[in-house]
Amino acid sequence: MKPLDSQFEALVAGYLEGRLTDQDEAVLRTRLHEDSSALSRFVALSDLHALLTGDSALAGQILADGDKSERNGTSNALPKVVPFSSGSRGRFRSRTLLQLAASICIAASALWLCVRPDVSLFREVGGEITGLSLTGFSELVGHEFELKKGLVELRFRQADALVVIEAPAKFTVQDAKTVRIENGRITAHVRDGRQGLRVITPHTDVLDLGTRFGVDVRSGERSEVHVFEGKVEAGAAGGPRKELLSENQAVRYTNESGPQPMDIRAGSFIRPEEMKPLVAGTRNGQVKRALAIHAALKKDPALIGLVDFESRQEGIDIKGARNVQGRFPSFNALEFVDSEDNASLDLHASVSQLTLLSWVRLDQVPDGISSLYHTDGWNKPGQVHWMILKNGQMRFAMFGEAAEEAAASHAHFPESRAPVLGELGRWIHLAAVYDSQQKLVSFFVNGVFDSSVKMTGGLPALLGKAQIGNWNLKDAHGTGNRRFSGRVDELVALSRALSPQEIRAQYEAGTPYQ
Amino acid sequence: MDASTSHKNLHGEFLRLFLEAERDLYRYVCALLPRPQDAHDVVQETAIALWENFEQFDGSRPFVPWALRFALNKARQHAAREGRRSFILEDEALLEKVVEEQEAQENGFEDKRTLLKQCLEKLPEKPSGLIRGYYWQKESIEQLAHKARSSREAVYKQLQRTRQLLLDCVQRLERREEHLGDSSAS
Repeated sequence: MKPLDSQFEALVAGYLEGRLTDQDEAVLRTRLHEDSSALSRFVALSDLHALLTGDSALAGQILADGDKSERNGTSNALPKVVPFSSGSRGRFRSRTLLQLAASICIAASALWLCVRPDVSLFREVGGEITGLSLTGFSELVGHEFELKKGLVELRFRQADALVVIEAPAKFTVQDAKTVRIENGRITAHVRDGRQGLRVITPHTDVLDLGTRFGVDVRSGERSEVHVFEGKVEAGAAGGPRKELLSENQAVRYTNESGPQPMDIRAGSFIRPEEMKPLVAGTRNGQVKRALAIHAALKKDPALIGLVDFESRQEGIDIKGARNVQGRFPSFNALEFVDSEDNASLDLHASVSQLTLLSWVRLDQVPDGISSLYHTDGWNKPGQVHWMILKNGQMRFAMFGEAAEEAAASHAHFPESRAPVLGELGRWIHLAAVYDSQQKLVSFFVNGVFDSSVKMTGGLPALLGKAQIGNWNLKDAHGTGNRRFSGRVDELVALSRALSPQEIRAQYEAGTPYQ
Repeated sequence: MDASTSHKNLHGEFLRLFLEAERDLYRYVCALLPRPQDAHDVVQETAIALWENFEQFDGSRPFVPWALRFALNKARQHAAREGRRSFILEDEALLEKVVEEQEAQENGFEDKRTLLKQCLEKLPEKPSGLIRGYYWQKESIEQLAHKARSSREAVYKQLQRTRQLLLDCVQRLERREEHLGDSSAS
């Protein structure tokens, strides 16, 4: 948005500086009423003013930088640096918290509540934690916790960092800048310009050098370090050798070996920015809605199969894949990391209409085809293969069937128009609906209709022995190895074509976000 | 659960919600009463009022809209008490438009902080010194004019230009990030 005319810009400046005359105010008021671009510019400038006047951390950093340059003799005699003490947010924050704390102290007669902790609980989603009874004022330093369910977000005040920990996890906040995690998944977002947050696991020791990173610890087995932005210094636990890891690098440490490079799985970690919509979703009753629609699905007479990984389900054979938290703390999902991770089942069905629904979370941009649901082999008419392509589009392929008009990206299989990769690192709801009478395949992403593709044949869909996620069948052509990196929370197959409204309802009731 | 534990839980819940909403509250109030001290005082008074009324808060509803209602009342009381005039506070229709526009521009307000820091670091020394002096060291326009050996009007003009520079820079970086996001998703 470019500056508007000079009169308007001067009026807004005068408003922010508190020096408008009555006449000026009248002109500005009229302009804001009548001109939407002026209103938009006014709010943008007012927001900038709010950031400049309201953010003590920002002021502190910039002032400190100025101080350094003054000491180095690089400044051209900038004003002497003083702590932000008069009228700045620093004063505001401490006054506010002190007043709040004071009122709380009086009410609770508990002096420990008056301390501003170095490490505190910031947000949580369905957290079941043993250890200290947590409130926003609890000092976590020196305490050991076991997070049985859910997510907690901790604020490290000195390191200016937010840390998200996902259950199941066992961790200790050792000091104001160090957390030791025995098992579980941790994501750290250190605000720009800061460094020094340390994450220790049984296998590695990670020191932040100003960054965003994640550490995934499988107790007694291995620890993985993934760097999303910036740099970290990492080394084997107790070892002298340290390595510098940069953006998009990931390394695995095990008990037996030194660091092994691996694919980065940026999407498998819950980041602080995802916490806010997750907290809002939980608070607004999404869990209940999701359970209700899940229960309704189970009663649908057209149900062929529903895999939710909530308990050991008969007929599903899982190898390697890890049972982890689903889209809600009380839900389970299956996580596929290595190409050998596998879940197989047999739905025994041949149907004229088919709806496939799934909640998935992609860990990384695939470098090939990512399998969602693949029947074994590719030689029987009607066999179904459902997948995500390298370019992010969803594909629904049936052996012996073809799209009337070839998609631009590939020969003749129906594909969605929109890529789903924009949702990397978020839970997404995917749906494919096939109707043999209408010879039509339709795609839906997050409850929204994407496109329909006309087919040539009208064969019934064949669902026999199949695999969810990674498809590892080595057939005669050597084509049967399609990796999926991420989590699958639910996979549903129905022998009827769900309407767009029904699919929308599935998404709206099942999404963990708001 | 005894009364003391329940009270502590309430404190924790309130603190979490308030700290999460604090920037939104300040941003809202700052558009109505742009003098930093007024805005800080109003947010502080709002915090106390919110805590006093927290038991009436419906936990199934979003916290921020509830808190903004208190902030508006406190801003009105503060303006009346301190003799501040705010034509936005006095004009319900305009107030509604400003709030709607704030909501429309809400996305990315938190990210703007990071971008603003980058932009501040890129500022040439003279405007950078002016921003420091005016915003964070609370120097008067007279002091700044004296230092710069220029007039008050020239300092005001320079401040206006510097804010425009910063806003242009933040918006440019935002567009670049959006562009990067788009290309990485295709």
